[in-house]
Amino acid sequence: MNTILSRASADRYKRSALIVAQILTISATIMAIAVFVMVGPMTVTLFMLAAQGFTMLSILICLVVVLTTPERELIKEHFARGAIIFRKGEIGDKVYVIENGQVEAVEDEPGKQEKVIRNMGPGDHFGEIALIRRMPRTLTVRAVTDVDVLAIKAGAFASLFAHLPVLRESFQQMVEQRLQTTKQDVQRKHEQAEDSQ
Amino acid sequence: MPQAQILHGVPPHQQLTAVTFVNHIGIALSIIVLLVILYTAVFHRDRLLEPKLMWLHLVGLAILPLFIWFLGNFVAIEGAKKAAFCGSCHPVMDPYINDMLDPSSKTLAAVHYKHRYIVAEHCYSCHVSYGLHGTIRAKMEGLKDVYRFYTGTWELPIKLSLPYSNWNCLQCHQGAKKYEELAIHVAFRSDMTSDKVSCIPCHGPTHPPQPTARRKEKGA
Repeated sequence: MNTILSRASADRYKRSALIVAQILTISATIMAIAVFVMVGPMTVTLFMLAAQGFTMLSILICLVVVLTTPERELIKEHFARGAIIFRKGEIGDKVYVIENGQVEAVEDEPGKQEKVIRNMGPGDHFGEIALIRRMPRTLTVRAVTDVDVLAIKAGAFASLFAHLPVLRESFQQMVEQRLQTTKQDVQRKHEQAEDSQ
Repeated sequence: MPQAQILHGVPPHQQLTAVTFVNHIGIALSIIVLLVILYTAVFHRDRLLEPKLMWLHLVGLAILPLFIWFLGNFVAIEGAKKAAFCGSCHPVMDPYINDMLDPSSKTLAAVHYKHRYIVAEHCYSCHVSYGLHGTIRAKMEGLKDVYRFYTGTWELPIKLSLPYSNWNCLQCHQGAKKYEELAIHVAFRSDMTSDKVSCIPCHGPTHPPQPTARRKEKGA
C-alpha cells in the first residue's frame, strides 16, 4: 500500500515537473522565434542565452521524467478472432483477464490432433500458471471471437502477491486445481481420441 | 535613413542565404514544438504520464528544442557579424558607425566603407575573431560585453581585449599588386606577418578618437 501511495505522490511531482518543462520550452521557443525573426540587434544575444538556459533545464526535467516513468503495468489488449494469445511452451510474462469475447485453451502437441481443453469468457482469467509456478505456458490460448483482455504484467502481479498473501494463497490453490483438471482433461481427451479410432 | 538601408538591406541575390534558410527551418520547428506542447497540454492534460505520451514529451521538450538551440546559435552568431548588431549597442558604438558612414571622414573604416572595399559585414571584416569561425575567447569577451551593456557597467574608452593583429589587414591586402609594389611592405614582410610592426601607425587612424568619459545620463 505504501508503495502505491509513494508512487502516486511521485507521479504528482512528475506531472508538475512536466508542466514546468512545458512552460520553460514555450518561453524558450518564443524567444528562439524572436531570434530567427530579428537577426542583428544585440537583444538577440540576450534572448538566445535565456532560451538556451530554459531549454537545458527543460531537457533535463523531461529526461528525468521519461527515464523514471515505468511502462504501464495494466494494459488493454485486443485479439482478433482466431488469433493466438500465447502458445504452449512460451515463457509467460502476463496474466490475462477477459473483458469481452471468448477464448479457448487447447492442447496442441506437434504431430497430434489439437484438443480443446477449456473455454473461457468475460470475467475469466488465464496465464497465471506460468507466472506462479515459473514454468512455460502449459496450453495454447486462442481467441474464439474478437477478444478484449486486460493484461497484467508479471511485475505488477508479483507486487500484488507480495502485498496480499490471501490473494496469493487463493491463486496457488486455484493453480493446483487447474493443473490437476488440465492433466485429467488432457488424459480424457486422449482416451476419447483413442476410443474413436 | 540611408544608414538603415545600408545596415539592414538585403540584396536580391542574397534573399535565400544559408542563414535565411536556417531561419525558416528554425521557425517551422518552433511552431511544431508549440503545437506538440499545446496538443499534450490540451488533449492529455490529466494523462501527461501515459507511457504512450513519453515519446511526444521527448520530441516536444528535448529533441526538437535541441535542434532549435543549435539553429538559434548559428543564426545569432552569424547575425553578430552584421554592422547592425554592433550598432545596436548605441551609446558605445554610435561614434564608430557614424564616422564610418561619413564620406568626409579620413579614418580607415570610413575610407574602406565609402570606396566599398568591404561590401558587407563592415565591422566583422576587420575584426574577424568573432562570428562562427571566431575564437572561443572572442565569444567569451562578447558575452562580457553583453553583460556590461545591459547592466550599464561599461566604461570609456573601450579597448580591444587583444592587440590588433596585422592579419586582419593582410587577409585582403597581402598579395595585391598595389601592396606588393611598395618596397617597404616587402622589406618589413616578416615583421608584419609576425605582428612585430603594426600597419596602423602608418595607415591609421582606424576610427575617430573616443570620448574619454560617459555622457551624463538624463536626469542623473
